[in-house]
Amino acid sequence: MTKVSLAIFTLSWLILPTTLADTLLLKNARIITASDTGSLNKGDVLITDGVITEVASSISAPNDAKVFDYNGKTITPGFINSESALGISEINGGANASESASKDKAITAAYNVADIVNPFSSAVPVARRGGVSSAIIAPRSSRDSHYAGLAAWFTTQDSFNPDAVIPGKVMFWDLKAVSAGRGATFPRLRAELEDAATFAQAGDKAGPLKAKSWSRYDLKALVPVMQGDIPMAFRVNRASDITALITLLASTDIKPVFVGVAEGWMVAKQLADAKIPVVVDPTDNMPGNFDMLNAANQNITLMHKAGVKIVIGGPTSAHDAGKIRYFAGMAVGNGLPYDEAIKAISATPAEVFNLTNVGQIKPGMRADIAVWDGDPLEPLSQITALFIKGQAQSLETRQDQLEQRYIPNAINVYGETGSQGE
Amino acid sequence: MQIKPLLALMASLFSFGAASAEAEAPYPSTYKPKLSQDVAIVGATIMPAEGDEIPNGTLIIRNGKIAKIGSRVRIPKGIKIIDAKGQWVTPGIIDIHSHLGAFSSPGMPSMRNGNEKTEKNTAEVWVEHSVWPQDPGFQRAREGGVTTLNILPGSANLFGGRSVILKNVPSATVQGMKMPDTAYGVKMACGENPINYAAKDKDPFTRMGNMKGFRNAFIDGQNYLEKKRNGDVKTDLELETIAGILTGEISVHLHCYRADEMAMMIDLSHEFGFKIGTMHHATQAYKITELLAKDGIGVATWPDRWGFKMEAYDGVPMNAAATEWAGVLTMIHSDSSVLGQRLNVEAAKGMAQAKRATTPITREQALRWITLNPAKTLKIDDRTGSLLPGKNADVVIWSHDPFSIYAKANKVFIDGVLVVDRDAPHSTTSDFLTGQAISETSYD
Repeated sequence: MTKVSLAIFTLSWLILPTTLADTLLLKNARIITASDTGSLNKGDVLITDGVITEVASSISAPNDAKVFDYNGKTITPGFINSESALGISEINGGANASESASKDKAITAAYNVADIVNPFSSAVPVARRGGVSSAIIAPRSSRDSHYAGLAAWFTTQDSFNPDAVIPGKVMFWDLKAVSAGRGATFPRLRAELEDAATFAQAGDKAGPLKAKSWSRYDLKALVPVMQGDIPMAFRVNRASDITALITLLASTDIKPVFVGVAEGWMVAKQLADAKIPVVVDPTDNMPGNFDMLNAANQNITLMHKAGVKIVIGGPTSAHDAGKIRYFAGMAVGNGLPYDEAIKAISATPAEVFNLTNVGQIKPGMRADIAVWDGDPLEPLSQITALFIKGQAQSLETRQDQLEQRYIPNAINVYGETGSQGE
Repeated sequence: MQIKPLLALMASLFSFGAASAEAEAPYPSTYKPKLSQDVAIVGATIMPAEGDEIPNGTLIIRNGKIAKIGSRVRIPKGIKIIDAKGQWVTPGIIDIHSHLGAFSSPGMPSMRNGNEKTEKNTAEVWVEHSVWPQDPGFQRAREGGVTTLNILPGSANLFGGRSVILKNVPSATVQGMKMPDTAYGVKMACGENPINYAAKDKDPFTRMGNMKGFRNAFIDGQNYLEKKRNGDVKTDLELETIAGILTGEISVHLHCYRADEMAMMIDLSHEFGFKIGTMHHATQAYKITELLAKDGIGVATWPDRWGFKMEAYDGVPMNAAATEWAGVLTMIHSDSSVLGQRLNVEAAKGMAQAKRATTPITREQALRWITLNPAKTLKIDDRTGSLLPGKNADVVIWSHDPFSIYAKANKVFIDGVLVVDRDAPHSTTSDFLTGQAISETSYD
């Protein structure tokens, strides 16, 4: 980006109001609602003040409406990447430009990515190009800790918005059996959760805590988890670890989500009975280590058939956030029904992580909507437009500008300011 | 290029203590295709990678070779017919950049055999000496339609060692996978990796240190060649490889990301008179397409990986299209046991970028990125890489258009032998997974 255009870009952020009282009518598109309504082969979506107000086969345009004719296009909810380093890692390796894990021993569960999500990261527009309108920004645990910390919910708007990052949506915890040995990991987790429950109830009046010498930061961070206000995500792969955690968590008020779950198909019934949702990477089909020896292509399909709630994850790198649609497509290739795969990157993560009013195209929902020139899960399809809170988002990336600088055939399809609209 | 005379020349130049100049190269291939059934694949859309797509075409495999291909092919009496109506047929995929068997799954320390991280120059190691044929990744790649693999050492060293070309067949030994009558390649690497991962307390620490390491190695290689021509010299494994680069017998696979560094490496090749075969990763190739085209250097890249390190920060999704448009021999590679399972989708992603350009990327061009072009680079295009009659029957039957995310390789043939069949019960080919829970189910 040149200095001049950067200046203009920044300026436009300053002068644009963050909520426009616009009325938009998106017309004649195939609509995949990710709701109980299913899909409309041809229909319209009315957006008022950033909220979806009507979805129907034909809506007459209100006087003040901006009308977008999307004949031949496909509309989906903006996609949700459920485990991402978007905004907390500009460059993954060797550049001191990644802060996805705590290096402070006193702050593990309390590691709070909300404070450090950078909405100006060059990876954010690239995520938008993949139709991603929001993401769970999840930390990773450091060497000696199982607690990774508090994940945030990040809306990928192109204009600065103080509400773009909602802190503390989910606590992440990583099973790392080899670090202490499983025989130590589970008793310690049990004791820690008992401590945290005691502290959540009694606060500073709690008596001596037994599991370890606690940091105050970490204890406080665990309070909403122990009270069941926010879910706790456990990164776990081995079938026996999954069942051990199910047993351990049964006596708590914790709302668990399991992430990874490569061997979940082997204990799908137990997961379904425990009503624990899972975040699964459909590319996990290799025995990368002995915790996922039985990683299988049909993992997601078998868990779905057993009644487990499926969220699709996988592209966790900041730069890959927009690839979530391909991961949903791979799950379809492995047998997950198409509508379930769309829900697994929209409605289901919204439900699992308690993301208010996103993930479906139906009245009352925030107008986070992606428009595609074909099947959104296909690599040959490209995005046409992305609306977040009813506002057309810039889809131009730094990569576009590099391409246009060097590649004579490159065209500035996504323009300087907005999505392809009318 | 004639392969056999070249090998004879190599044998004479680089024989290792063998009495006869005509002696067989060491660690020879023992690969022999199993007996296969002749088949006629009918009804599919055939994408030959050389020539137009054939709707409702017929492909006849006989004696492990492609016998006939076309829309009006007479089907011989008694031949087994595979009805592939509504399916697609392509050549077997060739992964020009794989570490399968060298960096194996499971990825525990004892199985990380792809990089001899002891010196900046380990031109003396051969990756085939590391390859574990039971790596479950081989089967996963096969299920993704990959029939040939170029296995490279890693990029921690300036010279990582020699590469090897494998047929992706189940085998108890690597010799049983090694493609016969192929020339060696060498892995070289510039940029961050040799700086970051070089043996502790050893140079290079900088990019100029990298260049010094390359130049010194080639000076040593020149001296070695000179001594060799003049008579007796003690065989030196490291210098054998360097000398092979200088004489052109060993093709160069160069890991390099940045445009300025690629340009520097091209000047290095001019300084010492060798040819760079392929720039791997080459995420900034789009900045110097003319330089690459001028020297006839190929590019093997990803469609959309970027930002995972500083030198990959300027990666753009139109990179492969840009090199293709400039006349550079373009390939999509995996460098990954995950991406290597769906190189067809990776090619599709690269092709889709032309929607933002004045010029299309044709389906045939995109298919060649993962078939004919790597075959040309490896100098095996006389035998594989497209569906021309007479070539080895390395063939994939896809459930969907191979550029679809939903495409599965329903059947894969290598030299006419059926090695993947999704219509038959699942079976694990890796001994490592045999007897595990996954092998006792019908699931894959």
